[in-house]
Amino acid sequence: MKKGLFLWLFVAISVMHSYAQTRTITGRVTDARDGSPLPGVNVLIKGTGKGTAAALDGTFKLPLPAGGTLEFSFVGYATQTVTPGNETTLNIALQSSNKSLNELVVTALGIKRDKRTLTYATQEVKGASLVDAKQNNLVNALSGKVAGVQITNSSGMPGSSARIVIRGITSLTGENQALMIIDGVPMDNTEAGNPDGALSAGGTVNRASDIDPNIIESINVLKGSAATALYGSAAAKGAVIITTKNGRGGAGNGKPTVSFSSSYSFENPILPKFQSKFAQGLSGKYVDGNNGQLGSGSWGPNMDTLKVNGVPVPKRDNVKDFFRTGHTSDNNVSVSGFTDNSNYLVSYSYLKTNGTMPNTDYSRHAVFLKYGTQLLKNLQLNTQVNFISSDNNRIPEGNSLAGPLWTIYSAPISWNPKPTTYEDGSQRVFRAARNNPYWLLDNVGLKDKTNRVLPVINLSYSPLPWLTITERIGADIYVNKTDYHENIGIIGSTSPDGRVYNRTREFRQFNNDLIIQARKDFGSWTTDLILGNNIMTNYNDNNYVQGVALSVPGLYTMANASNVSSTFNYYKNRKVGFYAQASVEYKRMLTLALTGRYDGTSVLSTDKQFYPYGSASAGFIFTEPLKMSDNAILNFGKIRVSYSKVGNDNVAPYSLTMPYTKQTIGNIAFPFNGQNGYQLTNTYAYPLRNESVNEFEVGLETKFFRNRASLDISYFDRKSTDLLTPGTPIAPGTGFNSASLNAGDMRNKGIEVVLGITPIKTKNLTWEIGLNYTRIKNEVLKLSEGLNYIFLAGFTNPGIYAFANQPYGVIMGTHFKRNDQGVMLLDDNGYPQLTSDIAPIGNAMPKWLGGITSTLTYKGLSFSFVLDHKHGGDVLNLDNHYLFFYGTPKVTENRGTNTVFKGIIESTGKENTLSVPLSENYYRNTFSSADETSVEDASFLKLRQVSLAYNFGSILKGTAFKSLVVNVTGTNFILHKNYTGSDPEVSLNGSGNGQGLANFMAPANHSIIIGLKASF
Amino acid sequence: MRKINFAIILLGAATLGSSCKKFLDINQDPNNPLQVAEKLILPPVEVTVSTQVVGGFNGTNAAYWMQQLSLNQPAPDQETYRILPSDVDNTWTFYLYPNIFNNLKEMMAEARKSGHNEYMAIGKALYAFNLAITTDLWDKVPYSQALQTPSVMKPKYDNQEAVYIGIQQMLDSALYYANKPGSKIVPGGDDYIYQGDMEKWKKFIYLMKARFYLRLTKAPGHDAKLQADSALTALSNAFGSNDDNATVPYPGTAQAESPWYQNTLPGAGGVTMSKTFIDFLANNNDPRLPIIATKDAAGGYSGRVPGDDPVADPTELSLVNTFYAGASSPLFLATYSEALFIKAEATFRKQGAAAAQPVLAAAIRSHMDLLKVPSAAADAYISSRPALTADNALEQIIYEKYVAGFLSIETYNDWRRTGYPQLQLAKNAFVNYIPRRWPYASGEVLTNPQPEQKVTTADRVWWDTK
Repeated sequence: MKKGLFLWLFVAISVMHSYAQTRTITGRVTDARDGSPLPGVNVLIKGTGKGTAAALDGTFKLPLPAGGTLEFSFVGYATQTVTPGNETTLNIALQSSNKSLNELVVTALGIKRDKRTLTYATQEVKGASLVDAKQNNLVNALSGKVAGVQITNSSGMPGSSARIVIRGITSLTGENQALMIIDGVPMDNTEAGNPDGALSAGGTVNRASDIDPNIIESINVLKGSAATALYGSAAAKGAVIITTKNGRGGAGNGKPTVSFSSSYSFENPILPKFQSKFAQGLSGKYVDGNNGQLGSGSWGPNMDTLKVNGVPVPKRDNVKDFFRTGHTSDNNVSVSGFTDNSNYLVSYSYLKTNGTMPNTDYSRHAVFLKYGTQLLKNLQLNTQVNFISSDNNRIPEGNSLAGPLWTIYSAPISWNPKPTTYEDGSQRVFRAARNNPYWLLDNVGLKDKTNRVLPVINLSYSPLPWLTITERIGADIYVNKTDYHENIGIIGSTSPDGRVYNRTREFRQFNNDLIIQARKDFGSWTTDLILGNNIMTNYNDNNYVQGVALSVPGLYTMANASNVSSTFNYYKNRKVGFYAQASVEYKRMLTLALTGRYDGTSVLSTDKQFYPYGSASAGFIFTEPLKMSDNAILNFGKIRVSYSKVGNDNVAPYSLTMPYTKQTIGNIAFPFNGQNGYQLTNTYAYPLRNESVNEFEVGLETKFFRNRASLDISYFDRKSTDLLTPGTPIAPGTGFNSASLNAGDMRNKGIEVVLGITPIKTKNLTWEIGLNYTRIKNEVLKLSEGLNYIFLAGFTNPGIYAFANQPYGVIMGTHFKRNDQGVMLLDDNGYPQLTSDIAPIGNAMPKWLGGITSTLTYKGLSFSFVLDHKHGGDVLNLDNHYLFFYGTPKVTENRGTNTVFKGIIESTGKENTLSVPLSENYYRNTFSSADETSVEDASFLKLRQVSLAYNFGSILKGTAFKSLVVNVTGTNFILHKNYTGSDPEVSLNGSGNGQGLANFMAPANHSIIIGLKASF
Repeated sequence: MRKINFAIILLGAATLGSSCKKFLDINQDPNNPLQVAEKLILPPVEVTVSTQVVGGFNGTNAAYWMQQLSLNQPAPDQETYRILPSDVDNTWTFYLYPNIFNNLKEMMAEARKSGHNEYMAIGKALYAFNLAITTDLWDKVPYSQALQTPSVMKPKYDNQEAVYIGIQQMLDSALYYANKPGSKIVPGGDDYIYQGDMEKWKKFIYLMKARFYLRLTKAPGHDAKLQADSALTALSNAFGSNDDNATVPYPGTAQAESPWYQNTLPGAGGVTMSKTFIDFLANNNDPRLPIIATKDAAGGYSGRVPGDDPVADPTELSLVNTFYAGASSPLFLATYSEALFIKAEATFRKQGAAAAQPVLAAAIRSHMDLLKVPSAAADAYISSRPALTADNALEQIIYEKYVAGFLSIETYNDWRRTGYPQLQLAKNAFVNYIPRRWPYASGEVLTNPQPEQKVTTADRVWWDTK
């Protein structure tokens, strides 16, 4: 310090005493967006051709003649010129250029790189477009925007989960979703799920939904394993890198900028269609559910002719009456600002959705605080904390008698569901063995609450201009409480006297990275070296207490239950990784990069805990040596190629032992008759080693017509081997019915195309179009030896399976008899026949995905939309499986009409010509019994989002407002579907593996949103 | 300064590296034990036997096929003989092999090591009991190569004759252990069936020996009379009263309800009495009818015609009454009346109809006692039954056994063995016969393909000859 002061004094005195002398200017160049250093910025003395480049920490130092002007230029940033007066220290914040040729992107470990030097595919989504998507769930906000990514929302329930898979399914039964990283720290995105199972109760939210899109600056999607190799095991499935905003977006000089945004939406359910002609009953005979008669079928007489005691029975629209218009209000206020040395951001959001089903809602408070400051000249501290409190009230979905959709979708149009109870308090129902849907609304509920904190401390120390040491500590800590109740009087549940349960999940994940980064230029070579160490520890405490049979009706406390049982489970796992990356760039045209990582994990066998892997990649900008950067047609072209191998420990802790566990057997809970009991696990534990993903990727990035058009194409071939498959079935005669072992290989070959066009660009009018296309061919290459298929999700019959040599996600169920050519074999009467086995009847894997985004801006007015298309893939709509039997779906309205089934009569082998009625008997006994009749094409074309906005910016000049934008947005308009249910984008299994099932899920919504955004 | 900083960091990293191994050694499951005592293994096994096997799918299936109960669902379903490999998967893939056999194996390994003979005896008895259930449903099954992970991962099948030899040997072995002096640690409340009463277990073992001797009356190479003789010998040491009945008690409180209560809840899809069974009892003025079945909506007794089109409201028919299907009804694994019916049949086979007559009367009476039928009504019923003759004896005995064995899986075995009671094919039948076995389980077919799996439900098990 003393030395520094002395030097400063010396310099100052020298300057004072010199005329037209050359003096030394030092300084630092940072990114105006977030204050991070910008290494490699060209600092030129104007008119001389002399200059230097900024070091890794953004600092520069050069001699400047008095009165000289410095020019700071960098690709992707607006050039800035400065003529220093007396000062010798300059802090320059470069604004990113709109005409950016290249840009800085955040890559693995939060390291920013010039996109030019990347040797793998990434795609960035701006925070603003995530906010514009108006989705409660961050994952859904990415829908239709990124090539190579498949997003599936599970239902229309507030707090529904959404699944994000990048470059296809790579694991049989383990995690297939992308790793979520927020400001360099991994963030949990699991779906806790319903303790009763997704199948029979629906899901819960996935934890990424906690993140408020308002605080996001950008999301960068790292697709291939070459991009994610540095992250190690966890990112073998691709990574979603979230970068939050900071104070640099506000006003300078410490003056605060206050931003406020507010929106309000109206959501309406997209409902399946139902028949509106036939009353409750069987064989045309009326069952008077309004007067105590019971019957599940709507195979009664035509409503038009139905009279009871001479009075017509009123026709009802029970489905429509059940739903309401949902509403979402979303309010955000933020204050931000910065000075030369520090920046701050304070943001608070409150989101509240009232679902389209009564008694369902989702709310989220999110506070985000961020502060960055330069502690010392070469020591930068960035700290942040994100606090979220979310609250979700839901009602059961899925194959649950406690879910109201079953008896709403099957309610006869002649039946009035109210009142819900008789005088003695028992339920008033239209059929035996099912609940009154409105009774359920009043007497069943699930409350899912989460309090979460995500702190990050990032310390960057640059002892030398070419060297930076970063220490980053981050954590993800939350408590998730799930409380459920069923009142006394429920039908078909654990006990007719109801039950309650409380589940508490305490999740704590601590992540530590120590990163040493060196960057130095040697002539035409730029070298960049990274060394690092990562430690991640994860604690997950799971407590579950269930109380069965309540004493006092409507009192949902554990003390009110007569039989209380509980489980307390603690899980801990830890990973340690050492990593290195070296990249060299030659003359800004050729980049070579090598990464290596050595991981250790607690969950694998002790002698297989450590495993190495890495990647090698190259990028070549062929337009550079050809000097085409001014070419009017093709001004940029890069080819890149990479090969990577990433190891993964995709298995839960404690998978190596065979413990005894306490089980509920059928309906019997232990202790039973005063005796406790333990049962040996059914899973045989083999030693486990890591699984691997090997990926070859080649890509072409081009820009045309002076950046007015760009085209990125990537092709990848990734093979996952030695898959960790804990649920692999083995012969039950061994005493175990499954084994945890490394078994199975899978391959994903795919192509991703990202096209950007700006057809119009004038001073007042801009039109930008983005297009993305993804085609992935997935194949399960092999399963455990000798195994033809494994079960993934659903019921065994029907269910979702993985078959060897077929794409993942085979739907298997009951079906009609066919010959080898697939021609239906009909019975002598000309009707289809059921078989006595189950077989593949569909596949959930889509053929291709595509999205189009477009923004048209005229002065302050802008119009934008996102179109999203999924082509192919099936969904098994189990609603229909049940409803065909009850006779409520629209298709059953043709009952009694004749048809000739296509096929041949089995006994004669002749083509069928018999015209037979589509009878009640056919629908109930044959049509509904074959699962194949409920398999539907899940293709869709959706207008994900369409928005019209006006920015009053120019009108407001001179007022306190910096900007004021009003907008109207519509979301989720299905333009085309072949699906008879609500929305083919649905999953009974939530965000888990085994997609392709739907069963009484809350219908999806489309919404109209009015919004306002102001800053001053 | 800088150099020192570097040194600290490098030293720190190095220390970290060297202690990594220990750092990662945190994979011991704190939640579940790797070893437990026998008294903790036995309760879940007995509940699995009772709730999942005898009173589970196996029990309902026998009751539907034997037309004691009916399921108010559209054909084709379980009642109308559509039985898929996936329908029977839980019984094989979860309950029998892993949850019963493998847990018994572990329990006995612990008992053998510690010299706990009582647990050895119970283990062997329950193993034999369930192995017979397995082979009776599937004929050839894994036995000699079963439960040998990891050396045998695809166990070959043993033929049923070998399995039955094994069953009798296992029961003899069970008797050997049951007869050895008491060990330090003995079963008590953890044995729901007999609370560790080894005298009762011995009677049960003898009854099982008799049951399985008589099972082979038609088996190739077996002589019905000799089988009957062996059965009678075993029976002399078997049950002597209803106090000896092998039952699993259910308190009936939440999550402790009886299997047949669960099986007949409205949520099960509309389980009613079958017209076949109701009519049998009604035609004979059987005083047990009101104890076994509830009154229908019209105040009488009516059952559902098997396989008929569903009625709108199944609760208008007779349902299973609370003696068998109350929340706190016990589940019967074997009864004194079964012992007497076996005795009656064996006596008939060995000594003729006249000798069997009083045994049959005692058998009927023991069941009536169990149901607390007033003795006058019991007398009246017994005296109303036709006298046994060489021609009608087997039919009469098995018919009465069918009534007394209401909801017992033995009805299906006896029907296959004797052809009684004579049943009509259900309406809307999926196949034109009542199945004589189960298809192999889907999980087994997937994981352990064996040539024996190429069977249909029309094929017969080894002892079920024409």
